[in-house]
Amino acid sequence: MKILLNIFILLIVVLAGCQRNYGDPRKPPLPEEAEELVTTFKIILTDSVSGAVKSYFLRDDDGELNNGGAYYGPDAATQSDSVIMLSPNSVYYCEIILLNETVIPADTVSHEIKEHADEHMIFYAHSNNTILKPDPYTVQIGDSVLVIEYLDKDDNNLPLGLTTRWVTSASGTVRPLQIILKHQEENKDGTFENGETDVEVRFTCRVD
Amino acid sequence: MLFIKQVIFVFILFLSSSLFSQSCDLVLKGQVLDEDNSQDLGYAVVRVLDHPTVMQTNEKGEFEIKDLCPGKYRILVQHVGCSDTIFAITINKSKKVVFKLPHNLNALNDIEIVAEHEEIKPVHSSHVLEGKSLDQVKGMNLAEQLRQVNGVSALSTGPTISKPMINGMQGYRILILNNGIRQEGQQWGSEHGPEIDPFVAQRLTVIRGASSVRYGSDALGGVILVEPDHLPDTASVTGEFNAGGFSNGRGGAGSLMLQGSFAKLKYFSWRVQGSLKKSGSVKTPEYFLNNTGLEEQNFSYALSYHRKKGGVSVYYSQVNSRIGIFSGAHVGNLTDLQLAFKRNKPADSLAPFSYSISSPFQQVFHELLKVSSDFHTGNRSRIFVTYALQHNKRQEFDAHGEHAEELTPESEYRLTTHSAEIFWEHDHIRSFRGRVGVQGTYQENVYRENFFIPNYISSTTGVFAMERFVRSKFEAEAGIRFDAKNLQSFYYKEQQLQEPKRDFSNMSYHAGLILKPVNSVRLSFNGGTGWRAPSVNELYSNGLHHGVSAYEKGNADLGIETCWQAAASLLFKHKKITAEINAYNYWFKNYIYYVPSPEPEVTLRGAFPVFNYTQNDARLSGADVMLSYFLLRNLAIKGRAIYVRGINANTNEPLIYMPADRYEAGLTFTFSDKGVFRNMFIEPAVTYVAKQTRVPQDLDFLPPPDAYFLVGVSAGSTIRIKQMPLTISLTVANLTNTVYRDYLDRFRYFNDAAGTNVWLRLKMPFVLYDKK
Repeated sequence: MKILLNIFILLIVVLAGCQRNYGDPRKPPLPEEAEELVTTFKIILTDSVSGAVKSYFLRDDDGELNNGGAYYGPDAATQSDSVIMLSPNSVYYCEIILLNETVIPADTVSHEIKEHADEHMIFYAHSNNTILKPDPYTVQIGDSVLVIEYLDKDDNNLPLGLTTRWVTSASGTVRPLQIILKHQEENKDGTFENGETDVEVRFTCRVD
Repeated sequence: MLFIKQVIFVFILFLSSSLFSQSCDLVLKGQVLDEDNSQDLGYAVVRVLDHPTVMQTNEKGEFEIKDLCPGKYRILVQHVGCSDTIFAITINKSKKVVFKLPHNLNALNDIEIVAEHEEIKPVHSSHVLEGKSLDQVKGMNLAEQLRQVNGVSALSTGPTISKPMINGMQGYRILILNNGIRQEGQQWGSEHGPEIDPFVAQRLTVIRGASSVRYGSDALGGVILVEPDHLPDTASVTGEFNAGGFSNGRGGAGSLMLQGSFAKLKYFSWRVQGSLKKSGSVKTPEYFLNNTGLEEQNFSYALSYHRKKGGVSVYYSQVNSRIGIFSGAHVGNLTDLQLAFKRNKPADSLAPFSYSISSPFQQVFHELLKVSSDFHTGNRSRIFVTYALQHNKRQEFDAHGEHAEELTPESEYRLTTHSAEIFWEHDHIRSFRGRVGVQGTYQENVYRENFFIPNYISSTTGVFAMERFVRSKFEAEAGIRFDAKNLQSFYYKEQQLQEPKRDFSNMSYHAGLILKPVNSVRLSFNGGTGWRAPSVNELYSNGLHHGVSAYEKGNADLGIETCWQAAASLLFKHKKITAEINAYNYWFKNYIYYVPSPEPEVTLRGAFPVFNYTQNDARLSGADVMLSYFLLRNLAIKGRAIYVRGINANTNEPLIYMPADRYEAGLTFTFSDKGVFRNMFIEPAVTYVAKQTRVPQDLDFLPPPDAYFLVGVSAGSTIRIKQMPLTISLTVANLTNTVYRDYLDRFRYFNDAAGTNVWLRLKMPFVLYDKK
């Protein structure tokens, strides 16, 4: 009978061992604000002669794929600012800023990219089929209408792409411009194929 | 703590040399005769329950079972023209017996039907994987093991994850019963394999066709029964040891099982079992697949108190696995995906072999506690009461998400399921066998971290009744069932808590007929209906799938999916020939599937293809053929072919992910015993899988891969070591190291399938203690 009692105790232990607190389904987690989220992609162009500043952005309020995706700003309704207006035969300095605006104050994610410059590279092209292994410091958009030159490098002397110089030539051309931030943790060598895409945005460039 | 003491005690026993004092070399010779006319029943199947032995009688109805330990055995004898019958025998020394098989179970009087519950074999075509054929796949995952069975395919996600597919259906459309309990895991993704210990089953049964009435309205494609042995009922301590090593992945798997019955405590019996598995990067013919390691730790135990008039038993099992996902298949947006498709070799293909598992990976936990009881309500009827509790926790760790460098999963799902069942069953009362019962489940799902499917509470109720009329030349079966399900989900949309509630209910019917016009022929026909409620991901999912960069969006307006099924099968067994043909057809109303939306979803991370759930009428049909022939007494040839077709009835386009046509052929050579070597065999086999040409337009990222041809071989023998039978087998898969990709592998977009793999398996049953 002692064994029987032991078995009974064992059973109780077993059953108690199956008690698990898996949480209350009636209380789902609130959509949380993620830390390394990118909600806003900003392009700031400074005219090298006049010093005039133009900025364009693409913004997705929660950085998630929900709620209708991203919009171009500042006018969400018309999305007119998806067209970057440039003058012919000019030189611009361009800075890319990535923000997480779900937190206050907004977190500048591009600072972290600069810190880990050897794991990231920003590519510029008029479509992803035309991204070849670039002459490391110059990217040509279309028929030399716009030449984008990398101004920043990582520790291994490979381009990063947060700051660039844009040189325009003849006028009258409209071209799509795709800007892609790649995360190339272990295999950054200046080529586009490696790594995963962190950010991919599409604007239109008009030179006239 | 008594338990631990017992385990230690048993291990000490195991190590002591007295272990081998028992002799397990008894031989049981016998003959199977027809009860009515005492004719020899050749080619009858003789199966020792709770033991690996399965054999066929020779043309005179004779059989010989070797390597039996002293004890009580139940022997199931099956012959095409007769009713399946179980004979109970006690064996202390080698002996000879005669088994008389009745045509009609009403006529039986001198045969003891044992106390253990035997499932009424369904009218559907069913296949059992056990004995030698199960030994040859031991340690592989459940879906890979089941591929041995006619009509079963596997839908896989890389080399480490696969799901079984029956009659072209998988996931929610098939059921897995683990030790009699419906497996409740996170079923909503193709990358979610069933959470079952690959060593726990002593018998895997696949019942094909809509088995809605008996097992649940949603068992549309079929049911898989994962069954351990019966517990022993003679005072003894016995066990079984399994070990396997495999070259591809440089892995190992092993299990140890001990079971017994107490001498002092009559009617009590117990079992403990545990298994481990570990492997590293899988190698395709040309490169290693980085991060495809696997770690598994599983255990189970059972305790039972059983008297002739009834009893109680408790069963507990736990599965823990960590599964690496090929890093080269982990991609970001549509641009990355297109780049991945263009590569000849996947990214990371230069990575060396490694056992380490890093992100992305899955961590899965599953436990099952089952308490069941049965008691007699008469000589031939019993009531069964079962309660089961299941916990399932699934964590997915992502490579690049916000939590990549922490030990927090990208998403986590916790599923709790309570299920209860009570049914009454009667055996052979005036040629009738049948069952009536009630089933209910209550389920809660809770997610953490990223949203993919919402929290939910769901409950189901089912009531069913079925009867089978059994005669010598034919059997007829009919069943009816009612099910109701309600599902309430909880999630936030724009900071507002949503609590949508859905109710579903419907009837299911089934009828079947078995004809046995002559001893060598068994013809069966069955028809039935089934239905299933849309699952939570089909209704409310909203997110990206692990691996393939597809964005899945649920459709909250989906209604129930119903189906009508008709199937026919012919089994012909005559002397040296066994042939089987199955054909089936399903008509679906509101079949749930997904379609790509014309515009990709644009985000800051780029564009993602979006898949929306929708429903439409569909038709699914298929056939398979199996043929085996004894060319010589020790040489058999076997072949199989499988065809499945699916059509969307509205668009007339094929359904996606239907298995391609598959052909297999093999030879089995057996050799006569030499010295310590017994049961020697060698089995070369070839497999040809055609290219899947029936695919829907624009639904897939890439066209299906080419046809492929694989060669494999296995060989084995049983060796007597100190009177204990040690079974050794060697299996080589993809012998020629062929480069191929399979249509049903979700990672075929990225990488080739695994190259040559050599498995070496050892198995030894042993006796530690016996009353005598």
